[in-house]
Amino acid sequence: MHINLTLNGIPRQIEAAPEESLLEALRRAGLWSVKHGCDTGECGACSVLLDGKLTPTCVLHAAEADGRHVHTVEGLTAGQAVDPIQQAFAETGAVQCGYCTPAMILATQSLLEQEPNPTPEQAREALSGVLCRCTGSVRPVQAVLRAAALRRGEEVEPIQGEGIPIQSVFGAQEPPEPPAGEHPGPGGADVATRPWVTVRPALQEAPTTGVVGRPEVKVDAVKLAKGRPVFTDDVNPPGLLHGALLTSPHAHARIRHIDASRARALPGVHAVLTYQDVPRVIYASGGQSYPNPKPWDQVSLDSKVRFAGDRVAVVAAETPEIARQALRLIEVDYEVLPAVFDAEAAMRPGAPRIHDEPDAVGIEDVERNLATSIDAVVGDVERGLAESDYVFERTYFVQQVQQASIEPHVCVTYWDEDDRLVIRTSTQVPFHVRRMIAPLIGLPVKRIRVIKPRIGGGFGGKQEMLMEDLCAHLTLATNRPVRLEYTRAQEFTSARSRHPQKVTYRAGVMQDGSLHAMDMHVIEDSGAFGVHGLTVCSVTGLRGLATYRCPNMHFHGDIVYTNKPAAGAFRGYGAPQAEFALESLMEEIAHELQLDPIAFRSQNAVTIGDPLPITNALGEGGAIEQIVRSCGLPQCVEQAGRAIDWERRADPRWHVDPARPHIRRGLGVAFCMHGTAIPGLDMGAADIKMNDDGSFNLMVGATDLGTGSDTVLAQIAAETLGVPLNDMLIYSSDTDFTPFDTGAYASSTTYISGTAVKRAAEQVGEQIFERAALMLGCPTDGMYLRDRQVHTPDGRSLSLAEIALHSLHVQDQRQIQSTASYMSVYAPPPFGAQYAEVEVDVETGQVTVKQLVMAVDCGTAINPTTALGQIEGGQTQALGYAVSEEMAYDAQGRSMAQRFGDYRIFEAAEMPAVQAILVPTYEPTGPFGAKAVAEIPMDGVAPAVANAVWDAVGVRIRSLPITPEKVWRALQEKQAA
Amino acid sequence: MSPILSPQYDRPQNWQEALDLLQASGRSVLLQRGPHPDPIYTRDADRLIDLCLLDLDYIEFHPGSRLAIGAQTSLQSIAQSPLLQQYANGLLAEAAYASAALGLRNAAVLGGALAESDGPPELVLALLAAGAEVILRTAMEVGHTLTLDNYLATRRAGDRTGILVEVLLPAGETYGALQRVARTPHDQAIVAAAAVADSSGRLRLALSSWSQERLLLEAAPPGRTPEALAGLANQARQSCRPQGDYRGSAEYRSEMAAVLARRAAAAAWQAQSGA
Repeated sequence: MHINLTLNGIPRQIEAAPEESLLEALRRAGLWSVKHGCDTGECGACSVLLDGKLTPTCVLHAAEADGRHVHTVEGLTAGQAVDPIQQAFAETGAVQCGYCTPAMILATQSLLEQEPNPTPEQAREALSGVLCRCTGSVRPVQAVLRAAALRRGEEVEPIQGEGIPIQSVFGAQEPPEPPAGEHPGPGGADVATRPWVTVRPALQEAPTTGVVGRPEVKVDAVKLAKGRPVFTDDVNPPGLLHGALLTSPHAHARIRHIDASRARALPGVHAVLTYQDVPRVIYASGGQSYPNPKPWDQVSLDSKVRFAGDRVAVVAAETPEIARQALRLIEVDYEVLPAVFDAEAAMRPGAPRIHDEPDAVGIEDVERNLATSIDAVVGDVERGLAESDYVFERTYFVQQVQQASIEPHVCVTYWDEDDRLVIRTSTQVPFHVRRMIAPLIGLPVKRIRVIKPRIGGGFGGKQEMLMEDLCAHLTLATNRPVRLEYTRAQEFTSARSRHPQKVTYRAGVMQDGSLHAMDMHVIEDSGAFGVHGLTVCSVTGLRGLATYRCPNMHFHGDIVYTNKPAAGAFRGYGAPQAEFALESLMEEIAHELQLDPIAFRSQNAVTIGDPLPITNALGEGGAIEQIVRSCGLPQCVEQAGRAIDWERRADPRWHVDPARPHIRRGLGVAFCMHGTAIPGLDMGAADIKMNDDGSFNLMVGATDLGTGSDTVLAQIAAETLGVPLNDMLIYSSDTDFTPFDTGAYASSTTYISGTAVKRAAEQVGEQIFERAALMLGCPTDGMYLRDRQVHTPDGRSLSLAEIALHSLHVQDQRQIQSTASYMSVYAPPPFGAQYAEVEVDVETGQVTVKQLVMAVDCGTAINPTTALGQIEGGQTQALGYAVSEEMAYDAQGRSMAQRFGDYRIFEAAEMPAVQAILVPTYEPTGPFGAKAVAEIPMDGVAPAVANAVWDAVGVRIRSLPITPEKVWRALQEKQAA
Repeated sequence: MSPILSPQYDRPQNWQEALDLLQASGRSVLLQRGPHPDPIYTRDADRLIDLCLLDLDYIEFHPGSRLAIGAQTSLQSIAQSPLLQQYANGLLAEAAYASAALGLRNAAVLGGALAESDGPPELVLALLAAGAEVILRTAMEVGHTLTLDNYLATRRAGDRTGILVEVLLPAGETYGALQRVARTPHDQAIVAAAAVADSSGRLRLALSSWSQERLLLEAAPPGRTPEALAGLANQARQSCRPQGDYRGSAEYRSEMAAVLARRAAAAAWQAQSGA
């Protein structure tokens, strides 16, 4: 049917079927800024201004827009112009992955047209219809206020950030003072444009770095703010078919018979694939280095399903509606099998055997559903416990949670003109996907190209080959481009999640407050597959036994199959589980021994020079003992404590509110320590090429999943080569054109890929010096790069454009270019201190988090804006982990939370005050002193909230999430005791 | 195998056309979104009826000083309405605000909120506590009046005859309060309670947990003593029959029904006595 509407001020007619959503119709009409997120209007990524009001389009039929005015971000500005709202979002760091940014910009536009001078509360309310999983809405609120000021024509403050002392990153040597005057340039060259080089009387020495340490606008911020088609699904290749996935309604069943004939006969259906149609190749879907950790217990499509949501069949059809209809026509006869949903029950004799297939590789004990296990020992923990003056034993439970990136998993596959398979996919691990998919689809690696466009959030959920094999199989079967995207419900039923764990500590403490023994036992529920199970559990051990010095330690982890959706990688990767248990335990010990909780932790916390002996026993890349070389933990504790006014905790009057007698207040703290990359394993590479005008192409395999790593890597290259950031043109994550990188995980990109970039830049710099020496007839000694020029010690200089033209066109022609790789045996830990302030309703148990403050030592923050954004957004995700997020199941193992709302992530209007503080240190092994920042904000919120609840009402909650009922029950028990 | 048949989309120009479409054979769906909509692709319909031309988007006084809210009025309009912010201490505005975030409040309409069986309870509770009536248009009757609780009961029984025209609120000074418990401040309520007291102090109290049956209690002015409040709380605890889920067990919900009943009643009476 024809839909007549006014689209961005212009009357237009678009075509849509009555059952189609306005979202689908707008995207098909080329309005790519309108994003698919949830299908139920709850995420708001698809929002437009409908007659001036922010409205989600996924819940509207296209026909409902007939006769109405629709505004999208495409209509905000023409061409290259940037609206003040877009400018403000870019400048403040409000754009992380950028998937929800167009909707947030429209929300801002709508607000500012009603209220030109909004309050922060009004800004939060305006943004509340758009869920942002990256930023925690902190910077978007700042962006709204800044945009309002810009629109009012006011001067706005520059974004803070002044670089870092240059000595700290380049050493103490300063360029010598040059003599003033004119000096001969590269004489004799016919094309030399400047035979004489002007030397300034004195160089103005920059006291700080020019690019590193400064709040540069993200290199992709403007295009994201303009809603340009940069994501996986923002293409419409000719002949595109639409895929759809049929999933199991049963938690455990064998497919006795499957009949796809009716589906195949449906007009418009081009392929229906079941286990009978694709080769059976065993693999593990986790995007990890070769060889993938065992067990290998998956195949693309199987005759057995192991969780409600497991793959059954996949369809390609002319339209999404036909594909969905085809799914309904596939007849499956299931033999329903007994299922088990509890990890401990799964290990008991007689439990259903989840993996009885004969071809799985590396399952430790099929009878006990034990995928694998880990054991690590330092010293003698039993003797240590026996020697201890006090012994504590506590058990903690952490739940299964979902990454909930706003962009669902989505993939487009097609044959290119050379009959090579192109996989355009929203992935964190393009190189792993290429290697891992090859045997599944029967193509050699060289016939596969994986492209990672911008990603609408990943958080570990896309460190996985989750759907690429199915999409590729459909293209192989149809010879047509195929698009496959999860629905939001499938994100909850059929994607990955954080491993739930039962963590039991036994801790021995001496009279003087020192830890003497720590025994940590973990039962990890890996769900139906063992993917990431071993390595996540390993990180749980590393993080649970590294923050505090202790001579005797033991870690044991059992990774267990159940009939629940498989867990996988999720930002923090085992650490949030460990930290909740560890930091709750430390608080409990401090309370029982009547020690100050901060003093007790500080007494035992590791510091510079301390070895981390557990790293000798645990580690994916091998056992490589780590030593702390940089540590700002005490400063983090002090600065964040001051920011939240920790001293209030000692005042009994502060804990109560006379006007609200049912409310109690509390403060909690958690120390945090994370890792940086996987030592001995993670590798990144970079290639830098100089262009005619002195600009550079920087090509990296590293995967920017919205964190800003492209920007950070470009900053490192720009700083090293003495050019502004906009002279560094970065291209990333394309297996045909960029060098290898393991991908975006394990907080590795700045440290590993950044060092590779720095090395490549240094090598390019050497080539520039050699060219300058050739042109100027002088040695390279003492040359340095600054302000787009190469400078000599005697004061002469050449522009990089002159260098490039000479090298490419004039003499001894060569391309100035270099590639470098980096792998580290060091994994320098970032540190942090997390504080939380809560209010607890003693009648209902409801916990309201009022404030979160985290200070982080991430070494040098290459870009303070993006680093702060990581800490703010990470705290917000972690807040959901603490109080609201939970993947729950009914008695049949079916997910009870298959939409946002049921699965509650925080919206802008309900956020507590969130503050992030950077505590600069210098990590000697990192690029410009940097170490990681991306994951550590996930670690401390849950224990800090639990400790704050304890402070408020004196009850200890040992399982997440901290729901009102858990607190209420604990209060009831306390009252009864 | 036949190809997929698209549903028919209609925008009736008048009531007769709308009612004819509703009565026609096949599955007809009124395009009235609630604040908790299901994905469009799960909708099983032969006919989609869009009521946007029937002028049902209003909040206005009717004769007799009764406030009327048109069935196609968005929840955001209800939340922002100056008239409703005055009514019962802004109870209805607060309830509409609590129903969803901004975008969905713009997309959802009153008729959709009342039609949803699994939607957020606040707005329905507020209307029940206020003693709202609904006006239906049927083939037989231009303005068929029902109490809201009767209307909800007939819908639960599967009766879909007639189209909701508007909701009418009682005239006179009223004093309301909304209480809820949830995982986060704007999360869907685990349990919610709305209370409205009239100028004499007579109180209506409505309670619910998400997608569960609603409980309607009434109390006379003497109930404002602490003992009577406790009695009201006890009545709420014993009368409600909640189902438990991962957000709260049945036992917890019963206990919260008591707490929130007491709080809502106390707040409404306090507003009334302080007026």
